[in-house]
Amino acid sequence: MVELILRAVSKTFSAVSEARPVLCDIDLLIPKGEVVAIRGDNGCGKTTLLNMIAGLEIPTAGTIAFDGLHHQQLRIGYVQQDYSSSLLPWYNVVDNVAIPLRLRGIGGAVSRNRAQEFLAALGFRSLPPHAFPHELSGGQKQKVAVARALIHDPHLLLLDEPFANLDAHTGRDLEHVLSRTHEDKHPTILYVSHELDRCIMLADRVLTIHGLPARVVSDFKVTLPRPRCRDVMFSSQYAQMRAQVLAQEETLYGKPT
Amino acid sequence: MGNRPRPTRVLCRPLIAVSIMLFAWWLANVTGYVNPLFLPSLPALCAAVSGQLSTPGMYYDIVATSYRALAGLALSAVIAIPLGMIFGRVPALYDFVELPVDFFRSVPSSSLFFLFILIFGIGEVSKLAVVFYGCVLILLVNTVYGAKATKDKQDRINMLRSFGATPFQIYRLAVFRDALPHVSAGFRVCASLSFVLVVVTEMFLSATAGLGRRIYDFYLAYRVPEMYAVIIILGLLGFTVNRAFLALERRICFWLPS
Repeated sequence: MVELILRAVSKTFSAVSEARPVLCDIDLLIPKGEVVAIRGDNGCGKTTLLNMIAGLEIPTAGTIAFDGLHHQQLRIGYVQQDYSSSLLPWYNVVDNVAIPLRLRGIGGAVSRNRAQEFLAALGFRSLPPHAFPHELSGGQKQKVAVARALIHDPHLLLLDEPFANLDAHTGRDLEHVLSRTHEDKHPTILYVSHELDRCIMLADRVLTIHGLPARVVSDFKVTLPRPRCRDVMFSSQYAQMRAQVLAQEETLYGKPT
Repeated sequence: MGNRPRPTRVLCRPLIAVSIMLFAWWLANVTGYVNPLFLPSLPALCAAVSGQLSTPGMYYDIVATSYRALAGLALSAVIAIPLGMIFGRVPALYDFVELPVDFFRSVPSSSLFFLFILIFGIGEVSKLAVVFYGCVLILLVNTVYGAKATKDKQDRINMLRSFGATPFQIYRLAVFRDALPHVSAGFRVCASLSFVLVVVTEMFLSATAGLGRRIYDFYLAYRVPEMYAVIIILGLLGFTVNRAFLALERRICFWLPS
């Protein structure tokens, strides 16, 4: 786990005709092991924010620090929004999951064995280990991407809409895997989701970013006790929190008609 | 599996096309529509093919032509693929060379025969140079397009970067493999082209061996059936090489829809 500190982070994309500011003055302190859900309307810069934290984009202004660690020392697990194209099509399931281990110099046979054991430990036994991405369904590809992000025991886990386009059962499976990983290893987790229930169920905080350029407009603390089972969704405390987040968002976007 | 055509049907279709071509040949010959001096009868053609295949010198010529074509192709690959990988990933660098590459791509290799003779003499080097020149720019441009970033490719690169991959690991694990379909398509085009160029060079650049030389000799001796026989053997050789490259491409790029 790692503490994540963002100070006055801004991002502007330079286009041919004009500069397009996307994010402005993002100040965040995410303590070690905290789970943060990020919400916001489409195109407001959520993915850009994750990309900057993952080191894939450079902020135009501001700094991103990881508890004194440099990017090179930090282990990041990133499940991109387009998880399907992030899998290497010439590698089978096991080889795709083993990528982070191989990048750290762990040999082919050892990394493959570890990947296979890890898939079993996650409960992804239904994944055909020697199938190639073009032979998998969307949900199976998503499981491979999540397993790959978790296998090297990351300090920081970034998930960009991990539950999008999944059926209810696969979504619950992934939710369970993430909760268990957090209980066991306590990585710091940032994930983007449009599903409010999953935000409240998994997160310690729900951030909403909004505007053009986007800023953090609400930072809601989820005080439900852990571990959280699905029964918690029927509690009055849960209903109250859900109503509060919705009320906050209604002030931003207006009431749905 | 249900949509897969039956193997007999797959085999039948090309056989029907070949039968139609042979029938048209026979008809043109029998009716005298084409002068029989220029279009031998099918039995005479079969006898010429079998006669050529039983000549030991024919195999020496096949090896000589294949060696020149494949050596020129290999030489162009050694230069074009690494350069294309770099240019594809550094578009600013490719901007510098794109104009000259496009210009020289438009200059036919055959127009440089005599220039290559002046520079390299009439030996093997000038023949290899013609093949090299004809193939290197096609392979280069194909590799550049293969290595160029598209959204899917960038997603894979980003995935590796987020796991801390070094630039070399990114090239090895993603960029090179992603470029392979374009590279192998370029190889297939160049394989056919290299045979075309070699045969022409063998005809005009004083070759002592090779299928081009053999065709030219039969032309000068007015031995038309033998000339056709060598052309057919050359066609079969080119077809085999093309099929071999196609099989290799399917094996290497197995994840692509066939």
